[in-house]
Amino acid sequence: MSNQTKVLLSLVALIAFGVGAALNRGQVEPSSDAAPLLSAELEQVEPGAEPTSQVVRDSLGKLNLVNFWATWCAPCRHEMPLFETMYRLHKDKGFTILGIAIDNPGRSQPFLDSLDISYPILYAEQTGMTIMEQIGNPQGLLPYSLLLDDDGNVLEQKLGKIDEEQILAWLNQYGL
Amino acid sequence: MRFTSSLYKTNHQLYRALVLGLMTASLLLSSLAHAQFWKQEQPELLPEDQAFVHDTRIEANDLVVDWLIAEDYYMYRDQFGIQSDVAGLEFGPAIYPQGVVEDDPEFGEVEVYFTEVSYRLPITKLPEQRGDVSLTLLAQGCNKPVGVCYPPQLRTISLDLSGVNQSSLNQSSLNQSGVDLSAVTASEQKANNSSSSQTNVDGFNAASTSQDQSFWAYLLAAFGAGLLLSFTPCVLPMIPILAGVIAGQENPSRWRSGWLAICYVAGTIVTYALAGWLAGATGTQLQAHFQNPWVIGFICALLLALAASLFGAFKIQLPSSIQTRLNTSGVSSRSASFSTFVLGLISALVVGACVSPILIINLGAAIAQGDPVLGAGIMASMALGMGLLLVAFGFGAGWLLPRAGAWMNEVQILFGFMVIGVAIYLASFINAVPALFLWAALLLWAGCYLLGLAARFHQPVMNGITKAASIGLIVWGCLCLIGASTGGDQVLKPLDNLAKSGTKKEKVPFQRVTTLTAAQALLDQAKAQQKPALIDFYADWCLDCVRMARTTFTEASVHSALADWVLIEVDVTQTNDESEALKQFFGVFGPPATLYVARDGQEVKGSRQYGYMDEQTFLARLTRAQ
Repeated sequence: MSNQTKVLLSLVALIAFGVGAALNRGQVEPSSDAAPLLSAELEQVEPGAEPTSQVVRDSLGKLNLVNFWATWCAPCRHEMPLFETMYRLHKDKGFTILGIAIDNPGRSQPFLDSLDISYPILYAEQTGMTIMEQIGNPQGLLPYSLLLDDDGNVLEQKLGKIDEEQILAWLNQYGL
Repeated sequence: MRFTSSLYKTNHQLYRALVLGLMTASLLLSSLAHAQFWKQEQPELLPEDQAFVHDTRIEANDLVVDWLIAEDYYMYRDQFGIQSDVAGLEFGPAIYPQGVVEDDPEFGEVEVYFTEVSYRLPITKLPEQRGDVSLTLLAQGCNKPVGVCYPPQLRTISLDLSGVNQSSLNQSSLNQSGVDLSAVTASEQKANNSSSSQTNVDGFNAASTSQDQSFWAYLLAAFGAGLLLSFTPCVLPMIPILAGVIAGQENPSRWRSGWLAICYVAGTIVTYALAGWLAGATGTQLQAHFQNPWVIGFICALLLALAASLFGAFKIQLPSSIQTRLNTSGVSSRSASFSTFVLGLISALVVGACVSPILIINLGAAIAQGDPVLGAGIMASMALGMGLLLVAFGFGAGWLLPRAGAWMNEVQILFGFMVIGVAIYLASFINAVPALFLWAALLLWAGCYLLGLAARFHQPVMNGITKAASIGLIVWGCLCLIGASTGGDQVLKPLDNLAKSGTKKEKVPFQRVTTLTAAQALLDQAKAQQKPALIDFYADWCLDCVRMARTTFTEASVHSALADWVLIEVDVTQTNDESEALKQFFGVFGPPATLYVARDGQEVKGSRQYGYMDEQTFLARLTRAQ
């Protein structure tokens, strides 16, 4: 085999390897440890009040849907009215929804107001990306949701929109 | 003769090395296909830098930003932006092409782009220091079917502003001179310049440019692949055929033999282009369907006729009635050129139709693009690459062959034997053909002929060499005869089955499936039993599949290595919805393909293999997959 052929073949192999590796990286990892999320101290903005600091662990109820979203993410916006409905229907039983905005309050608040969102929203513009990266969504894709029990253990995780049936099934499966 | 055999030898080593290299490359390339198809339960999403690929250039004092958007992905117009920390560098409002308007329940109408978008940012002010500057592109997009969005993209680009013409800023001029394009290759620059007049008219040039670029890139890649294929068994059987044609000429000059080689290669190019066109138009590897007993039989008959003409039985030319009508001096040479072209046309169907990894990738590209013209272009370009060796051989043969006279007749007859050899090699892929008997007959015949030839040599050295060669052939022929009568089938190892007597040569016990449901049932079963599974894509018309079924999969070592495996043979001989569903599900372009599935039911990453594997290669792969 001539040197040229060798170089050519190694180049082909190298490029192919790069492409293959890049394609196979960055999928949602199957298991996840939510510790970086639970210990995160994020900003909460109540209309007409000073922003407060809130640790995610302290906001947990019996069954928790943590939803990462942003205003620039159309599928995220589309599923939020459903979340609001489900929250109002089941919050008395201990079902909590926690929205984590990968966004800033200035852009988000008018949108939240227009939908009349009442479940708590925490802001994590950059830290949110880091958290997602650590807990199993390395590409920072949205919408991304986790179902946590009262101790913060991850029961389910989902990339992409969640529908009503899915939430009802989870409520059923995890005893609410 | 000696020239050819030594050519074979060096080529043999070369192509072994090359095939090894190609296998490594294909192993890695297979991870490409892997990402798309196998894991169905979880949506497979591209990394952001592949979902959205950016490219920038400076054109007529505008910064042109191209985004190539993967299928199923889209980008938002109102999220495009640019950040510049460079003092003094300013851009005017961007000029966007018309996008697709989507109705957003919350935000009203938004414009999005699928596939690609190219927008322009007019440079309105230049910094004092005009060298390389670094800028950041902002963009954001989503995947439609899965319904997920990627975080806002920040892409750093570097621009060379040294060529931007200060005095003509703010004018949309057609003047391209003095514009230096950074981060752009020369070929892209050329393509851009050629489309620039149109670009400046409507301020948008997305489709034509990038399609041109990828079209030529595909052709170039295919040509390179063809060159590599020259040294694989795809092309080598063509050399004796071509040699036979050239030797069949009376007193061929170097130019004449070179011309014939060109005619032959032109024939193969036409066939491949047709196959590529069909692949692009219909999305299947049609060429493979020509590898059935009828076509093989027809080509064998053609080769035998060629051999007969070399033996002096007749001359290959047009019927005499036509010849007299066109009674000019050039007719016989023209008819030879034409028949050589036709021979190339036909022999490309079978001889060249080996599914080596590169061929698969090439055809796969054509199929994926669904573009008949591109398909034809890719395959023709590849055939051209493959043909260069043949053309070189043609010119070389004209140089080396003896001029004329009695000598030439002997050389013709030797090439006749070789052409018959190629015919037997092809025929051996049909199960019913007792190939080893035929080999024995050919070897004995050639041996006896050489023995007679030796008697005519008076020079002791030549006499000795010819005698030795003839005795060698006769012994080999006898061994083949013995091997054949005891059920052997390999001409290079005629007594292989005797040496391993007791172990009967049987194919490993594959379970044959033709439907996806059946394949999935077997996979589920394997998973339940915690056994690894081997999936072998097979078809009767696939020569390499048949070869592998007869050689690799009958070896005792392979038998024992696969004892614990669930063996699934996916038979795609028939092309129908089921076979398409199978190929689609496993992400396989065509047979032969070998997939390894681990005990947990997941395909072993990067282990997939296209093409023929011999015993050693297969066992090595198997060990690696475990």
